[in-house]
Amino acid sequence: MRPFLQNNKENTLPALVGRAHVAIFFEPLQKLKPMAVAGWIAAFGMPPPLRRAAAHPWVRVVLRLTAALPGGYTFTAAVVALLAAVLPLLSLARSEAVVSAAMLGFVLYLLVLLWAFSVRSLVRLWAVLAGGTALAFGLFQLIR
Amino acid sequence: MEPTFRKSMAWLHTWAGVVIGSLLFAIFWMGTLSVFDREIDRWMMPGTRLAAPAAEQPFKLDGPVTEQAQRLAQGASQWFVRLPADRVPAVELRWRDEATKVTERRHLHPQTGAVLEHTDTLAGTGFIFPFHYRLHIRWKDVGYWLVGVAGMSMLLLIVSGVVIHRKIFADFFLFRPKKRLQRASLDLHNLTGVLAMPFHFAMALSGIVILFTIYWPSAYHATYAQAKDPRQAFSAEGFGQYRRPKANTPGQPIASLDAMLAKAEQQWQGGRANFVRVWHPGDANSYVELRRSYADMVTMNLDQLYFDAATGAVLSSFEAAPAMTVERFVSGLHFIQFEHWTLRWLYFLAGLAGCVLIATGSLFWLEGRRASHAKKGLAGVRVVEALTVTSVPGIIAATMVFFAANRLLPADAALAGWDRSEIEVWVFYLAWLGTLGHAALRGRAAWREQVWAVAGLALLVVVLNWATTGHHLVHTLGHGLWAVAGMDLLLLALAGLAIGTARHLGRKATHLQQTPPVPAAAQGTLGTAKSISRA
Repeated sequence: MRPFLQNNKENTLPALVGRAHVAIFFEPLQKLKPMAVAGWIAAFGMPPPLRRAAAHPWVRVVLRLTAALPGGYTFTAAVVALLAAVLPLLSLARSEAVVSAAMLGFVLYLLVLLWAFSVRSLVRLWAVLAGGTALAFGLFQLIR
Repeated sequence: MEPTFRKSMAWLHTWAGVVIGSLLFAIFWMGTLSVFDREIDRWMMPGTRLAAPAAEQPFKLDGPVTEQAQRLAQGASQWFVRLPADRVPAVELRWRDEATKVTERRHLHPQTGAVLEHTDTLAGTGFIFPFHYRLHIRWKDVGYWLVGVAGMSMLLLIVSGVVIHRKIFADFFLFRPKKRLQRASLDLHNLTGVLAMPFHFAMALSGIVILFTIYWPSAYHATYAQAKDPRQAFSAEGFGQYRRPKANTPGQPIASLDAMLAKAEQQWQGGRANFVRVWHPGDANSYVELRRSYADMVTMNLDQLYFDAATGAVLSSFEAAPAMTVERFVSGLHFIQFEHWTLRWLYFLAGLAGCVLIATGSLFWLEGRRASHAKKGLAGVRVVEALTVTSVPGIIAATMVFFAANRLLPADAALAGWDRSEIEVWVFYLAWLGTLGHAALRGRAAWREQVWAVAGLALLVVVLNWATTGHHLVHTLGHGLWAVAGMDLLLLALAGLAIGTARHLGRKATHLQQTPPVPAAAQGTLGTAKSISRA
């Protein structure tokens, strides 16, 4: 996420939202050591305050909306970037790769949204989207 | 989310509908009108109401037209013309006035080059169409993003709608207008949804595909990461772009533009240009850009030819690559720039079906929850109702007021620094705000009252056209002014439909006062109505 946005001084809405996203979520989470937290939850279960919060229906709705809308978009954007980087390696012209990846992005986002609003487990929803985004960006960085 | 996929889709359909319904109607309404945006232009700019050009007189760009263009665009860094066509019989000339930094538009007579009587208005192509894709909000592309969210929501609504519709084939032609409003609304909602479903899905998807550079910036950032300006680099390679800087020395007079048009037609194997732009007029490095017309194809081709202005020699040419051509075909399905009147009318009728779809959806939600919200003292129905009345009859009434203002404002109208075209837009927004105030105050009765207002205003607009231009229906039909006749006829049809609807709503209101509403759960074929009404 960060290398993608670091050199980007654009003033457009997605760039601003992206930088805010990094500042609000990414930097603090780095300090929390997400892998350690995930490991703790896997071993000992959800801490009680979080479990009580998750019982409120509106919290669950907010978590689902955040996962589906901006979360789903981030996941799809990462896959689109990966596609747009991979396709030229398969001897497709650069501008062609951009258009193809972008058009597929619309279809992918639609499918992600349909899944996000029907999957029962919120944990699975967040895990798949976060993990998928990380995987897509990781592969993208490898290719560059 | 919910125990079954169908219940999750019901939740999604209800919530997406309630949240985005108002915005979606506005986009669909303006989009449906945009099908005939050039015809609305003819109606709002009476000076351009020319009968279709006579077939025997071929159009020549050289001569009076080019001389007029060079005279009007004196000192501009570029000027361009759109050649006359079936839907726009005049020559449309635009240039950027370097002194005022305003892009001016004038229409010229195709034979004499004379400037046609100018009405300072944005009209269909300048107000109604841009409202459809950008809501006239330019700040940080927020307008584009709101429309994008609405488009994506529409796709979700269609898919979820199909999933939750149990007897989709048995109900194919079911419409029971005499039943209570909630049942009749749902029938009409399903009817307009299912019959035109491929259209609705194709429009929503193609609409957002058009703006792919805005919605997926990660694509060109990924591929053109090394470039200084990735977006510009992608644009140049994908959309084609030839630029030659000014030489800042005076140049030769411009060569024959008709010869360039002929060369282009040869290069494009019979395809004709419809757009001619002169860059750096009067400069030694002046060049001419020709773009190919879309009139005979769905794809919005990117075929371009660049000529040296003084010699007429070809400098550069461009054609879209295959994947880009696919994107331009999908865009073309949405833009419908091809000349095919039957298809154009079908798009218009399907667009109206889409408007009915969205309106009846909101109406169904309102009727289903009216009793329960009133009992629990919830504000939901009151708020959604006020917003729905504003967004459905409200925006239609505001559009009628916009047309009326176009006919009533004097040519040199100006107020507080705003010119005539800006005043027209202000009138639209103020009228729309007025419908919101009316809806908030009048509650349920606002439906009937605003629909009556639409009927009255539509008739008034037709009368105003007659009064201010003398072009009544007999005249326009007799003289081949099809655009104006079509507009007047559709306005009359709208008035008729509004009167019928207002009377139907009036009957329903008195009927409902006598019978208590039936709870949603008791209605058999509504299927998952119970989970819907929980929202």
